[in-house]
Parts: sequence; C-alpha cells; structure tokens
Amino acid sequence: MDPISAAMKIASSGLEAQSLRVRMVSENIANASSLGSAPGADPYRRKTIVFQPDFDRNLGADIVTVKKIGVDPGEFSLSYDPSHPAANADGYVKVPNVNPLIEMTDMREATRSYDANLNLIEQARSMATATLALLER
Amino acid sequence: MIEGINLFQTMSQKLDYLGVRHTLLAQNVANADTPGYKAQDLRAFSEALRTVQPAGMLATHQKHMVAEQGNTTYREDRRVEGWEVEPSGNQISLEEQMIEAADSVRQYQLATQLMKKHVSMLKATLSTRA
Repeated sequence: MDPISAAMKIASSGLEAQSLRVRMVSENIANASSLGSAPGADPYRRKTIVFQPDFDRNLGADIVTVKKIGVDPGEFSLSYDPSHPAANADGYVKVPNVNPLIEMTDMREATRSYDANLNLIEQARSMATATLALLER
Repeated sequence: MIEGINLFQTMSQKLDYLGVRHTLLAQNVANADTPGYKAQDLRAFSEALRTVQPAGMLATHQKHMVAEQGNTTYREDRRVEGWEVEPSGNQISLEEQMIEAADSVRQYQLATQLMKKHVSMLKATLSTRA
C-alpha cells in the first residue's frame, strides 16, 4: 500500500479511537447521578478507556486500538438522603465517582486529538492532489 | 539534459520519502494518547536513503502471502526526542507533530511544483523550431 493511503488509514484509526473516547465521556456524564435502587447498593461506576498501538500487517505500521474499557476503582462519596431507596441504615446514599470537571477536560483532549487526526487526513489528501496535478498539462 | 533526467529520479525519491514520513507522523498522531508510545521519525532526506535494502521473502506460489514490511527504504531517526513526556510515558506532543506534518506537506508541494516546472522546460526545448 502506498504511504499516503496508509497515512489516511492510520489517521482514521485515530478518529475511531477518539470518538469512542468521547462516547465513554458522555456515558459517564449522562450517568453522573445514576444511583442504586436497593439499600446500600453501589451507584454507577465511572468508566475509563485505554489505548494501545497495534501493528497492522497490511499497512506495515502502527494503528491505534482500544486496549480495554475499564472502571475507575475510586471510592464513592456519600450524600445524606434518608428518604432515598438506596439509603443505608445511617441514611447515606452512595453517589457515582464521576467528576464533571475531569470528564470535560477529557472530552476537550479527545476533541483536540480528533482534530489533529482529521488535519493529517486533510494533509495526506492535499499531497495526493499535488501528485495528481502532475498529470495536468 | 542527463542531469535533468537525474533530477526526476531524485524528485520522485523525495516524494516517496515525504509520503513515508507522513505515514510515521500519522502513526504518532493516532497514538498521541497511547501510554508509553515513543515518537518515530525519519532522518533528514540527505542521509535517509538506504543503499542496501533488506531482502524479503519471495512469493513463488499464488497462495503465498507477502508480509508488508513497512518502511524498508529510509533510515529511521532513533534519537527522536519529543518536546515533552506525559506522566503516562507518552512522548508525543501534538503541536510538534502538526508542525512537522505541515512542513512535510510544504516540501511535497515544492517538489511537485519543481517537477512540473521541469516538465515545462523540457517541453519548451522540444517545441523550439529551427
């Protein structure tokens, strides 16, 4: 495969990985207040995503893939709400370990990397166009 | 005129080199958030060309598969040091990679424009009537 289309394929693997990351972030934000339903039950646990390089034999280069989607083992904080169905004997409810500030920062970083990959595709395309322009009179 | 023909060869090598380099930059950018990933780059064009290429396996039967070996033509720069290293061990700075990519696109356009000019020079020579 010629290097320019290989560059496009690699950058598109980056787009895919980063968009999955944004999906994880939105899942975390959407569930930022998903509490348990039984007394003392655990609420939503924040999800994390880890990338890894993956050598693609067709391209002869490293693309990026998702290594694993894990969970954040961080502790839940407690809020006092004795009337809630998930309240424990002392009247405390566990709330998800999602910090909106961290999620927004993560999303900004994902968007930035997504844009960078998009730029690389754009540049590869302009290189291909410049090559084709050699055929013009 | 012989020098002119030589120029075509050098130019197409340069285009190939920039294409391979762009692949490496795309690889770096795609892995910009991969823990522990090291940036890769080629040496400068003047010292990157390998004179001896490593031999691959021959496909002598239609069912043989030839493994893509990636870049075997240009020497990689083993002393790439990124601008920063993240706590995760990732060495890639997006800003740096984007600057390098923009630079290689510029050089690519310069090379194609030069090639075009050269073709038009050859044409001008051919079309001169005595």
